[in-house]
Amino acid sequence: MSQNQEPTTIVKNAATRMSEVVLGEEMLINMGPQHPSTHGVLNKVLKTDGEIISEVFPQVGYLHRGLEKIAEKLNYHQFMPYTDRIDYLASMNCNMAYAMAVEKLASIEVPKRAEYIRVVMAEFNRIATHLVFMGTMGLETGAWTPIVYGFREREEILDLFEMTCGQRLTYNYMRIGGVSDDLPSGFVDKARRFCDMLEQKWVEYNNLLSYNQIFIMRMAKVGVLPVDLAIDYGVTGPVLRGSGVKWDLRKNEPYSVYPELEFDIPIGTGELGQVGDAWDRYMVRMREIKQSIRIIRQALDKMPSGEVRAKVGRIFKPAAGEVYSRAENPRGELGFYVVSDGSANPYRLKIRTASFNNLSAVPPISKGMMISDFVMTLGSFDIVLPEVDR
Amino acid sequence: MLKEYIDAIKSFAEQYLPVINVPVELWYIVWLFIFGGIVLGGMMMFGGLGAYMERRVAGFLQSRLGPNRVGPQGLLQFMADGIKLVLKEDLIPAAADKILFRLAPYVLFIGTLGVFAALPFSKYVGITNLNLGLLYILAISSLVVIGIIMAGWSSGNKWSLLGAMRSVAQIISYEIPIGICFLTIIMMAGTMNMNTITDLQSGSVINWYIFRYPPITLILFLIYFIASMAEVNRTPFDIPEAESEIVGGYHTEYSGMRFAFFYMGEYGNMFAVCAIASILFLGGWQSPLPFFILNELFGDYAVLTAIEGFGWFLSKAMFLVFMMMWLRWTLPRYRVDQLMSLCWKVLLPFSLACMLIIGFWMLK
Amino acid sequence: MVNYFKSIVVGLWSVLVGLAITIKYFFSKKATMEYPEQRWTMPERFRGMVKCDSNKCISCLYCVNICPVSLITLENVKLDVPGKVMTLDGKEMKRLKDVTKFEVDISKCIFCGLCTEGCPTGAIYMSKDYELACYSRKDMVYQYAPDSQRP
Repeated sequence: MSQNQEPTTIVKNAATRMSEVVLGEEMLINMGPQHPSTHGVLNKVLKTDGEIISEVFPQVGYLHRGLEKIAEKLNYHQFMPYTDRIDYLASMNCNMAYAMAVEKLASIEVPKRAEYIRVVMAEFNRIATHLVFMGTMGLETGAWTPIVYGFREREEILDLFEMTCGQRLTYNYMRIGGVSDDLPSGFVDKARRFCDMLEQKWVEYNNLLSYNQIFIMRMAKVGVLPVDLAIDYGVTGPVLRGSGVKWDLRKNEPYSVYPELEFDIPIGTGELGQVGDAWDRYMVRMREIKQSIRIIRQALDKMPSGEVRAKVGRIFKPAAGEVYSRAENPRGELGFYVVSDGSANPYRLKIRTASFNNLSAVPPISKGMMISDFVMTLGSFDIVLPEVDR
Repeated sequence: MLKEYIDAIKSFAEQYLPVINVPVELWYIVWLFIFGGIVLGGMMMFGGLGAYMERRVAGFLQSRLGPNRVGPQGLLQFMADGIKLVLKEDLIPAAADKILFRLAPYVLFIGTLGVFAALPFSKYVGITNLNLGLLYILAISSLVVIGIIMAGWSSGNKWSLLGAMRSVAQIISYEIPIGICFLTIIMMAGTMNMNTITDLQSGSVINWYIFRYPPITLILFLIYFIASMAEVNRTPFDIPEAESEIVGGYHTEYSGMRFAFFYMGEYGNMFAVCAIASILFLGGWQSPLPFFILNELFGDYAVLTAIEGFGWFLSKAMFLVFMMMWLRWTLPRYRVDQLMSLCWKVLLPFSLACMLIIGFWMLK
Repeated sequence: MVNYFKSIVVGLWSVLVGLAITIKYFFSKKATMEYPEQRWTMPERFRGMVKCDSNKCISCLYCVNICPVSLITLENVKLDVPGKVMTLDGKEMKRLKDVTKFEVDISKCIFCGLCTEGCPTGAIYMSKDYELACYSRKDMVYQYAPDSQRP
């Protein structure tokens, strides 16, 4: 398949070829909501001929909690714990995105130290969620060990978070105008030690999983997401970068202190298959771990001393207006659209999550696949269901 | 051969049980019953202990501990699991074909147990001494496929059906390289009798078939090991029960005691193929030394030879079982078509080439 | 043909590399903590169960209002003689009201810690208790007021 060929025609050709060869009866299979590889509660209704999928209908909404409506009933401070629950694997990043949106709305100046702490936390959380991704990708392929190794290292990140903010999953660490507490003593040393340790383990993960021949056979040339399709569907984050687009909000629309830090943006190059295949998406995430380590080291070096929290009133009423603010989350672009009518509660709060858009690009590319490949494709998109349903 | 076998038992009986003055045929029948019971119990035990070992090995490989609460080092975990499974509610899905659904686990289990009947566990120790042992094993182990397809079909679940279909395609394909490996061994030994094959490898480690025509027999051993891993549905060939793809494959709908039978069948099968590998290539119950240690220490008693032989046999088979577990907890799994291409494009040509080379080598 | 043999060799090699990594952890120290016997030392800032020292409480209702899930119920009476209480930053503060009911429904709690953050006297705090399982929902409602002790 060449790069510029229309993806849908390829899919059609494959599907017609398959139907010519295998003249079977099509059946509907419910893959989910209770299925080991749904990453939560997602129902995918597959129309298959034996193992070959002709159509996928994802059905979302099993985890809908009405976060956007809840936001209208709470004040700006109170909504912070709820942002933990948008993407529970990357709570810090969600906290940060929401705090940035409200700060933009009320034009609050955040102290420099707080910005650095936020970046360190966000990048640690990025590593943590990519480690979980690495493990779950192993699980999709049937390798059970990488997830345990990934979790083992993630635990150490959670230890760091626990000593900073007191929780291991729903951190609620960022506040509007800064962070809740300064870094505890011993944090910096522990963080540096962890970075050194993780760099060694990173090589190990690659040897164990990324460059395993069976893994490459399963991932390379599977679930190819062409660039134009990715852009059409509003796909962001590592999935878009896996298709070879160098788009990262940390570089393209810099926020916080990212302009002061040096890092590269890994993109998919199709080194073992095609650009935009599952292995590319996987490897983009693995390489982001490395870049995150780099960012953390620089941020720890450059971190100034000083206040960590700007003065923000307890009853906090931003002027009427609206704002859209977005941040680069581990799964893509997380945007908050906040409308204020001058009261203590947001008038409207819309959350634009990456997983929802990314998931929408799965059905068009999964026609004519085998069920095994579909599992790989969906796994490599790394969706998190609370983020899809909100 | 059978005559010698009976004579050995007879001399054993005369040596140790002089009081019981019974005709040797009766003694032989009694011996069969005792040993059949031991094997059935032993296999069920291995089902449990294999599950325990699997979890423990998995834990250690993943820098966890695995089960270590029930009994010393968690050794009684399989008892707890067994009790739990027996006490579970007997569930049959409404859409299931009831008779086949009930029958399937036992068919699979019989297929596994049948293999044990032909294995020489040690010198003088074994249920039967079949002259066509290898052929019988090839035949009876195919019963497992029927059990699996019955289970997959009768469950009335699409995932089960997909699992069963995958399983049948896989096992039938992988029986061919296994058959060729068997054929090569038969060529080398000139017999299908497992006892004779083991006897031919006596002496010391250099007489084992794995070192007979180096490195061709070593490659043959690897081919057999890989193919047998596919035969018993272990990762990287566990596509019939690939959890992330088709939930549980053919045993998705099973629970309670029926599930336990599948489980025991699976681990029993695993032990069986490893035992066959150790008999065909690693000398079965033969000592790797030129002598039996216990005989050397305490005198030339048949019972000591039998005990030590059993020890060697078990340790060889268990080492291979450990290898399978180690591989399982390291590797991802293949896709269906990749699995087939591995079988038809790699294992089959290589095993044929090995057979040819060994054939010519033997002619020389 | 060369590629065919190369792929077999590369495949076998990658399997061996993987096996070497897993066997290394087979013999190395395990990461497991055997929970009921070994216990985690909770860090200083750990956010466990919400507790309240109602003698310090000045009924400012900050925690009641900030709680995103409204799990605190607070009732109070006016004191005849105002008491005194120290704030966190060392100032003295008049205590005009006495708490008669301070209920925390821990089953609703999301452990966000917003309530403790703004408490001027440090009356409400998050303890290091984390084993909160119990058999009925009633047991999850904790009373912290002195004169309405739970039966």
